Amino acid sequence: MRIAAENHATVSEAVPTVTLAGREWPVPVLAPKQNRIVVPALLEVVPKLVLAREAGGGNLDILARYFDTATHDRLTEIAWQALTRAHPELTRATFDEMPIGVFELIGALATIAHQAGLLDPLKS
Amino acid sequence: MSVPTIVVAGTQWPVPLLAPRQNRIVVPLLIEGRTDYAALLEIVFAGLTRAHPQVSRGPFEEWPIPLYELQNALPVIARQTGLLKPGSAKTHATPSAPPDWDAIIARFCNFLPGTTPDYWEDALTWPRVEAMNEEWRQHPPVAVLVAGYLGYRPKPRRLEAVEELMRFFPNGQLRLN
Repeated sequence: MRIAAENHATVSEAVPTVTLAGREWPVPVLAPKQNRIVVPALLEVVPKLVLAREAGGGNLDILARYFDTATHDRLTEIAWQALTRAHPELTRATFDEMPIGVFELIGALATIAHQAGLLDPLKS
Repeated sequence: MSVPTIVVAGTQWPVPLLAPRQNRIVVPLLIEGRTDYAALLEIVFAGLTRAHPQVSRGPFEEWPIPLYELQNALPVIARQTGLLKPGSAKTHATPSAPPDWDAIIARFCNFLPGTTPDYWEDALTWPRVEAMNEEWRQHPPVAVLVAGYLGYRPKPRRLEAVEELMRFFPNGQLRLN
């Protein structure tokens, strides 16, 4: 028995995109395959970003330069996992060679967090 | 009584009362208070397969499932374990340890001849366990009554007997005069 789907917001909405390496990439709602990496990583990185923003008086661009390698690696992992949702053929080696700025990575986080389901549209 | 549902990948899925096959996975995670993503996924997948055992893990991993769907499904599945009483504000199961499903199923097979462990693995729910326990309390099975009448006490298992013997000889030596 399978009950008919409700009109769930994530089903019918247009697929949002993120800009990485100067190119727009679609990021559909993520699957467990991506979320098992993305969700814990977001929960680890986002508080750091919030703290950095608060410490920098709102100037995230400056403070982003001081992120350590581990934080950068987590951001990269989040972005790559999100991109593989629509582009499963994209290898990590290829992704690591793409010219992606740290601000692009940070800018993509909000969309990825939304597509990971960290924010419930019915409650927010 | 209508079967509660959860929304996973934008689709409503019924979640009947869970059987041991699901509760073996779900209850320990709830008791541990696990709320990490991996645990949420295990709990929801187990809950979903109660009514849809044909759903396999591979395709499930590719479904578009936002985190909030897993979080919203958690209290429904916790209730469907049968171990959380209706009206309780808690979202987690209340017992301190998961039930010994193998022992419970063995007792059901023993007292209900003709049934098999495989049958109860998918047919037993916690309310059924409680109902049968109450029934057996009020109307004990004949085997229990006869055992009580005869003063039957189970023999200690072989390992227990050895441990009992070793307690008499803590240094491991048997001295004879």
